[in-house]
Amino acid sequence: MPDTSWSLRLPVRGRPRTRRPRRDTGGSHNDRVDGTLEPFARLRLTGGRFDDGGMPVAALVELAAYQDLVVGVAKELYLTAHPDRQRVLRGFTDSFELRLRTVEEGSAQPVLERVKPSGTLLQHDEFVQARELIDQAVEAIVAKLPLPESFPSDALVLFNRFGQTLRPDEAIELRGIGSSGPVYTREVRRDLLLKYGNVYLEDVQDIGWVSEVDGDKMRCLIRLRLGPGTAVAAPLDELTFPHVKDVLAPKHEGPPVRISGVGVFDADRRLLRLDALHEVTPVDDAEALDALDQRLNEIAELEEGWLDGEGVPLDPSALQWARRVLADLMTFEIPRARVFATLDGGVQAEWSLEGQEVSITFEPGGKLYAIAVNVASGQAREPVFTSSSVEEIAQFVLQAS
Amino acid sequence: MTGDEEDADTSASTDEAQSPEELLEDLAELLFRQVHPKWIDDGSPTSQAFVPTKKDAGALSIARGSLTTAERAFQHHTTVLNLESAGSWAVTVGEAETAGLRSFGERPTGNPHGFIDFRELGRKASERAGKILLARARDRGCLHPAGE
Repeated sequence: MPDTSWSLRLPVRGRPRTRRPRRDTGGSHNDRVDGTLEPFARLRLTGGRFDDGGMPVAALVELAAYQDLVVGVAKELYLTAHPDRQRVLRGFTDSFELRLRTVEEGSAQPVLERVKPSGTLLQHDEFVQARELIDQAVEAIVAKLPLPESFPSDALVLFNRFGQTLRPDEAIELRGIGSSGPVYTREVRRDLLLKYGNVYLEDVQDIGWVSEVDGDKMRCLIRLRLGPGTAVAAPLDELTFPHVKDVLAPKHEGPPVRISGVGVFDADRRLLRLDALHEVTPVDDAEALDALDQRLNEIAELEEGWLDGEGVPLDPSALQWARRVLADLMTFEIPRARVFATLDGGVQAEWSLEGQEVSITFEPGGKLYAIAVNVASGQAREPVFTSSSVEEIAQFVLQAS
Repeated sequence: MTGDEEDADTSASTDEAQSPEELLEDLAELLFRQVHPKWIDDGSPTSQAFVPTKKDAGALSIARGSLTTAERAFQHHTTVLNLESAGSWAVTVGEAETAGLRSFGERPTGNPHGFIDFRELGRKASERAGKILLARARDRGCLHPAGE
């Protein structure tokens, strides 16, 4: 079986590392830190990428975003407590520093320790209060309750960065210094952000077609396959500009490209624009993608009673789900699936691979059913996916080839 | 197994008149299956076409090769029953048996309609059997109209 994906991971430890005894070696930076750290928070990351052991390096940005969130809330708390001041004291931000030395077991559980400024005692200061308020705010959203009155609304926007890379099946439990805490998910994050404004930011990975490039303003227009029907604006930089220019065709859309970036969404989850564009790469098999889309568009038109009086129209969520997953599977060198509507409004994708008949059914209501049958031996595999990640689905399909 | 099916299975030789079902035993007999055009993609039917729908109540309709042809089965389906079909595909009684399925004809003898029996199967077993039938039918290709 070919290697279908790779990622870098930090190893986890069963127990926190025993702190080395403090040595007087002339006051190097590490020695200053060693022995002056106190536990501040445990973030237990669960689901998706975090269930395979270790901590994906790509998820480390969430730890930095958490520190920024704590600092931002703490600043607002300070200003609320000091109404005569317009800004925080010099050195306020620098007085708070989190360090990661340990990732404990139990999915991935990074232990964030706070550096104690030399000659001071850690106390229940604004940063600790900020941590508690963040926990309370998340708890309130989970329970569909109003935010704590003391939560500074100006700080809500900071949730845009924290959790931005979370996938639908992933979550962060904010354990603080206790053994449990509120669970932060994409939905909780979105609800928090919509308390503050009308938009929120979220990672976007999709296929798109570039229709316009403005080199002076360093922006372009991209129509996204899973996005709104019209093109949305996206900023360009020195890295993405040449790639976007390469796929621009005169007077019409160029070939499809895979993009990743950060999207700005409204309260109805509609993509308004891209706030950042990280990557633009050509789609390997544009013809197969076109054939897939044509077929999906065909079955999307089915009306009530489409099969001799039986059959309901496709469920839009199931169709959108199939549209995303089936295109992503092509990046694993899985051939284009044959695609069919099911009578109850789902989408069934089928492959015939090396003597096996394989199908995946995207059912209305968000369930996924998969089965692979060896037609010679009659043996069947009917996996229960632990997540709905494309990687897991691809592994299942590839086992047949 | 239903009571009717038990009759067909165990009493056929002694009391055929009481059972509306006749167990098919000629393993080489072709069983024609009509496939709706919406269930064809890239020239191949879906395995769903070889699994009964809810209204079929576990009986996958077929036309018996010993009593009709692929062409006549197609015409009967599209002109007499006025239903849509992309063509006649076929498996044999033996292939159905390999998939763990028994096949039945209907009495009075001479009626080409019959069925492959899924009545006792759950989802996994039905899907498994449907995929084996699909593979065998696709190996044979569309028998009428030819080249479909």
